[in-house]
Amino acid sequence: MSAAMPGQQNLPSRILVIGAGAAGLSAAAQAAELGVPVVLIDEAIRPGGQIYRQPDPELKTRAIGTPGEVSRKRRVLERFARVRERIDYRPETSAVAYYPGHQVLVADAHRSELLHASAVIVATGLHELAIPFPGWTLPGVSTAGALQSLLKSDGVCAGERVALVGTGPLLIAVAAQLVQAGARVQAVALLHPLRNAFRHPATFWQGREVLADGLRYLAILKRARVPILNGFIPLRAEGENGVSNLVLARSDRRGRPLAGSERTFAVDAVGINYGFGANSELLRMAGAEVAFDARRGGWLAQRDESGATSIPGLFVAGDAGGLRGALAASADGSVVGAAAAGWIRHQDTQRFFGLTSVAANERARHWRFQDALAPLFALPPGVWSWARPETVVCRCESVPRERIDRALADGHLTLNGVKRNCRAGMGFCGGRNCLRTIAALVEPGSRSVPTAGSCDGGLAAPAVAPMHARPGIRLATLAALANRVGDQA
Amino acid sequence: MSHSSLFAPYHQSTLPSRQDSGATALNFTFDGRTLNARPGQSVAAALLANGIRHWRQAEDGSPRGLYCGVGQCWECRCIIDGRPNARACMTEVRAGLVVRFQHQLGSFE
Repeated sequence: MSAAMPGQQNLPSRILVIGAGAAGLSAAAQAAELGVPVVLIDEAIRPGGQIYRQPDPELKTRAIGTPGEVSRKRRVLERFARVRERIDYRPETSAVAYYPGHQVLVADAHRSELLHASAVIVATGLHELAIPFPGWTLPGVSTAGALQSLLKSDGVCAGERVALVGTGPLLIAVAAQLVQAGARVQAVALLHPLRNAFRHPATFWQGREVLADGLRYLAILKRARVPILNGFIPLRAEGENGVSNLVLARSDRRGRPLAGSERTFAVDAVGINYGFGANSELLRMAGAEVAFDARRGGWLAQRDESGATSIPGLFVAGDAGGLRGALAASADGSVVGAAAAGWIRHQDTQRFFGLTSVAANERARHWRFQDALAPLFALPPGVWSWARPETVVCRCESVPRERIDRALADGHLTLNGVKRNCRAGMGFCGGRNCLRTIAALVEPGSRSVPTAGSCDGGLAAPAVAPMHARPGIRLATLAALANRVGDQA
Repeated sequence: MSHSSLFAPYHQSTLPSRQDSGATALNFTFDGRTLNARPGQSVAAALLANGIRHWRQAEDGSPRGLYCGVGQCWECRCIIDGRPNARACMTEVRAGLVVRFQHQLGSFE
């Protein structure tokens, strides 16, 4: 248990870990095993994050996943459980803002607190990317991950007739898990053919666990005769107050629908996943250097092998630093946890590196695999044409595509400029849902309007800068902010 | 209660329950209608298990429900025990919880 004694002078030298998923749990456990005080905050009620999400034990839901996934999850959670008593673990707590000097404002439903730490590990993971298409805001249309989390932690199938659209291996896993839970999966529409993933057997031996899971899931889909439609994309979702039909079309090479190839499926739920965006807001708010990488999650904090960013004492672990999957994330968490411990004890991130060399080797193997996998599912530019002029792009502020096009035509060619002009990206989600779409629309070549005449200082190559990350990346009530606890007088 | 006539289409939903059976049940209400859930479920999961997908009207008038499912997008916000903009996916359902459809910005009760 860390001494949570307030008072700036005698602050304990402690590590604040943000996020209790695969990376955060391993980082917190590793640092605690080294005897360093750790505060771990997480938004969920139970630890595990998304991949290792845990249901309420009372619910007695069926275990979701392959035997391999179930045992990996048990290992991560058991390791955390062994040091749980030594960690100041705060569930249902959000990180609202980062202030210089490793001060993080956190809040739960009733209270807020400014936490001081000697080192911060950001392990906030990812969010799912969707590509806007007509009808994607209808109730019943969600991310694929939402369908999975309902299965994992609630024992609930979001629908009886489900379709999945997107790209990459997650869709296959979710489709198979839905089948196992008793849903009828009407179609899995994949932008990229799945056989891509099996093209380089030598490289893919590195990711054998993931491929083994994938083959198990494919077998389940084959047995259930689920149609896997390679090269198909969503044309529109139809319905009154909820989705009732999903119309798919075959995609051309650039990701645009081919006329005459429509296929309609009766559905009551649709899951979307076209990749991921890293939750890098806290890192950007801290001023860490970032670079854009479309294939691994957008704006990523630059980091070294130990997870150290350009800000001394600020670390990033797991997918928050770029998509590489849960196996890499838990190994990375161990390495980064040890590095942060070395940093606060000895100002040396390498001090305990030897203790985590096994994890570092594991991580290297998964990184090689994931880095070979990522380019196979890159999005072609035509996908951004799916949104019609009236299709909502920014869900929070209900900003349609045509309004954003007008802002761009008027010369607002930065994300901040578009946001100021039409509110896109300004809403509850903090821009997570629409940032990448708007960035793609800003890029020359993805639209027909001329790009000359910027009033916002033009574009930074090769991609535009992200919107500013401001305090309030997670919402807190005024009541919680007013009820500040733990402050030194 | 006062809005129930407006929401007749989904109030009359006849979709059967889609959850695993077993475990003790609890009751909560959505717009005055008593629904069944299991302890440990989120409000969003409990609504979906009862065939309800639509529990918010956005500022442009369009219908909304669950989207990201993991607390990142606030699309599933609704009025829970009198608090507007509460995330249905991050709130655990409890016996006696009062959940209401949220119109646009929502209002405190």
